[in-house]
Amino acid sequence: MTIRLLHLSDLHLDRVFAAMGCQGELARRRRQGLRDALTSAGRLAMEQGCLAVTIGGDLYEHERAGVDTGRFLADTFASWRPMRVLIAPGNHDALLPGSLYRRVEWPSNVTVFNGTELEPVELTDGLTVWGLAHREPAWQGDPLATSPATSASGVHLALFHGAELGSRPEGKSIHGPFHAERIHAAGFAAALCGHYHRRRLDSTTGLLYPGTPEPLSFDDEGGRGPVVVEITDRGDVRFTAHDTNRWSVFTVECDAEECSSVEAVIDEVAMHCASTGYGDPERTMIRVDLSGSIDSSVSLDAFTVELAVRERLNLAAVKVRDRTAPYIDLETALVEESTRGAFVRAATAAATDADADEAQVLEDALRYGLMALSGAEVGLR
Amino acid sequence: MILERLEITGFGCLHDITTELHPRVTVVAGRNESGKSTLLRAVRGALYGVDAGGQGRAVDRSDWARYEPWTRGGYGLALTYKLDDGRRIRVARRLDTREQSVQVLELGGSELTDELRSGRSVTPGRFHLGIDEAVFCASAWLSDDGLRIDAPESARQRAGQLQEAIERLADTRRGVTAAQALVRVREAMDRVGSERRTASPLGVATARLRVLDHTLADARTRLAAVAVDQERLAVLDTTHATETEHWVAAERARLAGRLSELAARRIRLAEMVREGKLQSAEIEATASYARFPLDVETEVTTLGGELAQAKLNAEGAEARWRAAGERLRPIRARRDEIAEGIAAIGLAGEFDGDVGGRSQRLRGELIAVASAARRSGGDDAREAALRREIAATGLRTLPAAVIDELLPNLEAARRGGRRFALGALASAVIAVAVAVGLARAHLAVAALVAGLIGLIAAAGCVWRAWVRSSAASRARDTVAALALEAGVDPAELARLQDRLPVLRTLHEALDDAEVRTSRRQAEAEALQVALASLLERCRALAAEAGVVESTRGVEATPEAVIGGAQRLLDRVDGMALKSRRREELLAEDAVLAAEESACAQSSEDVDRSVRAVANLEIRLRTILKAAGIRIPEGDATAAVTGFRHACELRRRHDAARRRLDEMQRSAHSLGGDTATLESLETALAEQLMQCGGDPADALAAAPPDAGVLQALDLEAERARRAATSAGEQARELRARLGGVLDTLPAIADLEDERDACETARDRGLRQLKALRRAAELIEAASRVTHRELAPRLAESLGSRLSLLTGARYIEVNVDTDHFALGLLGRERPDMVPLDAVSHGTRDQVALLLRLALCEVLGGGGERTPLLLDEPLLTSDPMRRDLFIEFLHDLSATHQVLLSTADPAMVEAVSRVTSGDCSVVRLEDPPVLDVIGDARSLGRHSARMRLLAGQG
Repeated sequence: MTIRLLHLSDLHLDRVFAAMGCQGELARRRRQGLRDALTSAGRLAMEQGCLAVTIGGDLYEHERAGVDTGRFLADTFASWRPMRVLIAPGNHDALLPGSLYRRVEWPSNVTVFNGTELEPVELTDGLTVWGLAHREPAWQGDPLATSPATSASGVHLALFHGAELGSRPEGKSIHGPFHAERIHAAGFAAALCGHYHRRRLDSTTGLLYPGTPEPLSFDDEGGRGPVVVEITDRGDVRFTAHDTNRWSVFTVECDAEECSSVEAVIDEVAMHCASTGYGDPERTMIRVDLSGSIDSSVSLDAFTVELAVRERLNLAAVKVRDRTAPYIDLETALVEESTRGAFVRAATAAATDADADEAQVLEDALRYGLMALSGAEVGLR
Repeated sequence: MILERLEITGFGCLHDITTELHPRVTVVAGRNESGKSTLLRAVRGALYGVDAGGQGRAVDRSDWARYEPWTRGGYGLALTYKLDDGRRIRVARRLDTREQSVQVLELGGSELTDELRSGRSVTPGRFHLGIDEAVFCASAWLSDDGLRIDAPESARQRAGQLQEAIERLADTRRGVTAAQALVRVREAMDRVGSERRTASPLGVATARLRVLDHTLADARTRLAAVAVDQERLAVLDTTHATETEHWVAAERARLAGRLSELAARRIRLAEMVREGKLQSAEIEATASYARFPLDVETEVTTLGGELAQAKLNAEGAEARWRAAGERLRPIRARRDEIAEGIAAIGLAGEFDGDVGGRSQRLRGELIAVASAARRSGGDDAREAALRREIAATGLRTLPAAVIDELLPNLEAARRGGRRFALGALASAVIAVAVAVGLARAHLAVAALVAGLIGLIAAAGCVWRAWVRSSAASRARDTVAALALEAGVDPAELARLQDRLPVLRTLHEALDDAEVRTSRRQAEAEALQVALASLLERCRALAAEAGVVESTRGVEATPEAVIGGAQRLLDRVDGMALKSRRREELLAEDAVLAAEESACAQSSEDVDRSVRAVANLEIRLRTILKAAGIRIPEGDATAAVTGFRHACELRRRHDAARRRLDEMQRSAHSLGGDTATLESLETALAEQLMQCGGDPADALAAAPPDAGVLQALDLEAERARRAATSAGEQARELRARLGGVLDTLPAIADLEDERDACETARDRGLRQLKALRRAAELIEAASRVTHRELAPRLAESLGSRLSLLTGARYIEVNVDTDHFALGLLGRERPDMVPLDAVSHGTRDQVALLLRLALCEVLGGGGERTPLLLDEPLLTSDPMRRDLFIEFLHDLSATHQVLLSTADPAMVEAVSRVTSGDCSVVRLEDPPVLDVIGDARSLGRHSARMRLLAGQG
C-alpha cells in the first residue's frame, strides 16, 4: 500500500511585508494568507489521505510570533487529528527559550523534534521519519553529518531545515549546510527539507524543497504550494507538487523611453502590468522595473505611478523601481560651455571615484540637477 | 560661414524651392503666412536637424511634425554654404521619417557625414559654427520679437531682463538660469522636508519612526514577558500534572496502608474480644484468692527455704559428730609417737635450713677441683715417649728447622729431568712415524707439517728436561751443605731421607707436649690456692652446723686436702638430715592437732543446728497462722507449698484482671467495636478504588507500622499541597495572562509600519542628500561658468561696439553674477547701465551681444550668419534706417538674412545698402530681385515658386 505524506516548509507566519511595499491592511491580508495556506495544506493532506504532515522549518518567525499564532497553530493541528504533524524547527523558528514550541500546549498528534541530531519517529511499520531542530538562529551543523542507524529494514526519511550547498541561490544564507549526495549515502530514501523558497523536486538524489506556499517576495514567482510524498510498497519515493497559492507576484520590465509625460509613463506601466495575465487582482502584487532615458523635463515620481496604476487596475500592490536615467547627450554635455555642461562634468567626474553609495547619490543629484536646469519640477525617486 | 543656396523639397508650406543667397544681406520678402519664417527655419534645420521628439519629448509636438509638408511630396531640404577656408559644403536632409537620413558632402571633396555626427544626429552647424542649436537660436536667430536677445523663438521662454537672458544662455542654453534651477531644487528639498520639520514628509516619517521604535520595543518587551510567563505556565502545568499524579500515587499508598492497618486492627480487636472472655473466666475461677496476702509470700518462701536448709545442716552435723568419734583415737596415738621422736632428735638439729644446700654446693666445687687435680698428671709420660721415638729415627741431631729446609731440596733433587727427556724422544718417534705414514700416502704437505709439529714438541721436552736437571743438581748441593751443618753425614742423610717427614711430625708433637706441660704447672699452682680456700669454707660451714672437727692438721697434697674437706662436708650433711626430720614430725603433729580440734567442734555444731530448726519453725507457724493456713505437725514444707500455690492463684487472678483492663483499653484505642471498623474499612476501600488502587492487594499486604503510616500521611499531604500550590500558581498565571493576551499588539503590523517609515525616512534623507549635492554642484558650476564667460563677452562686445559706434563707446563691463551690462563712453567718465542708453544703442548692443555670444560660446568656429525674422517691425523709419545701416556694416563680417512683410523695409534695405543685397520675394510667381552686383550673389538663377495658396 502506498503511504502518503504532505510536506511543506517556509510558511513564515507573522512575516513582515514592508519590503514588498505592504503595510497596514494589505500586510495583514498577506499574513492571513499565510495562515490560509496552512489550512489549505491540511485540507489537501486529508483529501490525499496522507498519514502525516511534515514541516521543514520556518513555520513562523520567532521574533514576531505572538500568542495568537500559537493558538492558531495548536487549533489547526488539532483539527487535523488523527493525522500526525512532524515539525523540524528551522532558523526562523529555532527552538530558543520563549519559542512557541516550548510554550504552546500542542495537541497529541504533534511531534516537535528538539535535538540537533536526527531522531527517529516511526510513523508506521516500515516507515521512519528522522528529524532534528535548529536550537539557535545561526546553526551551522551538518544535518547529515552523523548517519543514524538506518540499517534496519523499511523506508527512512530525513526531515530538517538546511541549505543544500550544491543548489544554493545566490545570496541565500547558509544554515545547516549539507550536500544532496549525502542523502542516500546516509541511508535515507529522501530528505524533506526547508530553507530555500524556490521549489526543488529531485527524485535522483531524494532532495525535496517545497518552497514557500505563498510568495514572500517579488522573486517568488510562479505556482507554489506543498508537495505530496508517496512511498510505494517497494520503497520508491515520488514527489507531486500542488500549486495552491492564492497570492501571485509578477515582475515586469517597462521601458519608458518614449514617454513624454508622467501620464504616459502611467499608461505604459499599466499596459505592462495588464499584460502579465494575472488572476485575482486583489491578490496580485506586481513589481515594475522602469527603465529607459527620459527627458529631464518629465517630473517622474515613482509613488505617483504606483498609486495611479494600483488604482487603475485594482491591484493589491504595485512597486515601481525607478531605473530610468535622465536623457542626456553626454558627449555634448561634457563639452558644453555652460553651467549645465559644467554641472554634468562635475557630477560625472565626482562619480568616477565615488563608492557605490556616493555614486548613487551623484546619480540622483545629476538627475535632479538636470531636471532643475531644464526648468521642470524636480521629480523625486 | 557664407550660406549660398537653399533647396527645399518640402518643408512646411514651402515646396520645391531653390534660392541663392547674397553673401552680405539677403531680404526674404512676402506677406504674412507666405513662408518667410519657415525658410529661415529651414536654414536652421539644415544646419542642426529637425527635432523629432523621443526621450520624453512628444513626437506630435515636435518640430518634425510641425514642419511636415502641407502637401504630398518629399519632406527634405538641402543647404550649400562656404567656409572661411574656401571649402564648399552641401548638407542634404531627407525628413520623411523620424530617423531623418542626412548626407554632408564637401563639394569637390569627400563625404563628411560621419565626421559631423554627434551622437545620433548630424549637426554641421555645431561643428562649423562651434555653437549648439540652443546658442544658435539664442544668438544668431532673431524672431519677430525684434532684436531683443531675451526673445527666443517661444513666448513662454521670454524674460524681462537682458542679463537674465544671457544668464539663461550661459547656464542652460534654455529658458532657465542656474538660480532658477536652484529654486527648483530647493522647492524639491522643501517637499522632502527635514527630520526636524515635523510637518514635512521626512519629519513625519522620522517622528513616526521614533514613536514606532518606542512602541515596538515596548511591544517586544511585553511579548517577551508574556513568552516567559507562558513558558512558565507550561512548566507549571507540567509540574501540576506531575504533582497531581504524585499526589494520587501518595494518596493511593496512604489509603492502601490505612486499609491494611485498619483490617489488621479489626482482626486484632476480634482476637482481643476472644481473649477478654478467657480472662473473665480466669478471674471468676480465682475470685476466692482475690484478697490472699501476697505480700508475705517472700518471707514465707524464705523461711520455708531456711527451715529446710537448717534441717539439712542439723542432719549433717549429727553425721559429722559420729564420724569424728571414730577418727579421734588414731590421731591421738600418732601424736604421742611424734612427741617421742622429737624428744629423741633433741635440739641438735636446730639450725639454718640452708646449710644442707650450701654443703651440696661446696661438695660440687670439691669434686670439680679433684677432677682437675687428677687431669694434671698424664702428659709427662707422653713427652718422654716422643723423645724416645725421635731418638729411634737415627736423625736425633737434626732440628726441626733444618728438616723443613731439607725436605723441598730433597724433592727437587729426586725429581730431575728424566721424564721430559723421555717425552722428547717419544715425540720425535711419533712425529717421524706419522710423517713417514703421510709421505707414503702421498700427503707431502701434511707429512711436512706433522714432522714440524713433532720436532717442536721434542724441542720443548728437551728444554724442560734441561731446566729440571739443573734445579736437581742445585738441590743436592744445598742438602749436602745443610747435613754437614747439622753434623750428619750426607750419605747417611740420603739413606734415611724417607724418615724425614716422620721426624718432622714427631718434632711437632713434642713441641705441643712441652707447651701443655708448662700450662699444667701453672694450673696446679692455681688449684692449690683454690683447694685451700675451699677447705676453709667447709670448716666455716661445719662450724656453723655445730660439727666439732676432731683434728686439725696441715694437708700436704691436694688429695689430702680434698679428703679432709669431704669428711667435713659429710658430717655437715648428717646434721642437716636430723634437722629436717624434726621439722617433719612437728608439721605432722600440727595437722593431727587440728583434726583433733575439728572433731571436738562437731559436737557444738549439732547443738546449734537443732536450735536453729526450732526457731524457724516457730516463725513460720506464726506467719501461716496469720494467713489462715494451718501447718500440719512436722510438715512445714507442705504448708509452704500450699501457701505458694495460693499466691500463684492470686497472681493469676490479678494478671487476668490487668489483662482484661488492658484489652479493654486497647479495644477502645483500636476503634471500639468491629462494626465501626468494618464500615471504616469499606469507606477506605472505596476511596482506594477511586484512586486507582486495588483493595484486595492492600488487604493482602502486610500492615505498615505507625511510623510508616505517618510517613505515608505526610507524603500524601505534602504531595497534595505541592499539587494544589502548582495548580493555584498555574491558575493565577493563567488568569493574569488571560487579561494580557488579548491586548498584545501585533508585532508584525508595527514592524511593517516601522519598516515603511524607515524606508520613507531613508528615502527622504537620500533625496535630501542628492538634492543638496545637486544644489552644490549647480552653484559651483554656475560660479565657474560665469567667471569664465563674463570677461570674454565684455571683450568681444567692447571691440565691436567701439568699431560700429565710431568709438563713442570704448569699453563694456559684464557682471559675473548676473551678466549685467555697463558701457563706458567718451562723454561720461563712469559706466552707464544698459537701460540708461538710447534705444538705438541698446538694439545695437543686443545684436552685438548675440554675435559676442556666438563668438564666445562658439569657441573659434566660423562667423555665424544672422537670421533676422521681422526684426524691425515696430521701429520708426529713422531708427530702421540706422539699424539697416548698422546691419550693412555688420554684414561685412557676418552674413545677414532678413525677412520682412513690409515693402518699405525692402526698399529701405536697398537704399541703405546701395543695392549691395538681394531680395527673395515669396510671391506667386516667385521673384528674385538682384539688386546691385549680381556677381556678388555667386549664382544668378533662382527658381522660386510660391506654393502657398496654390494647393
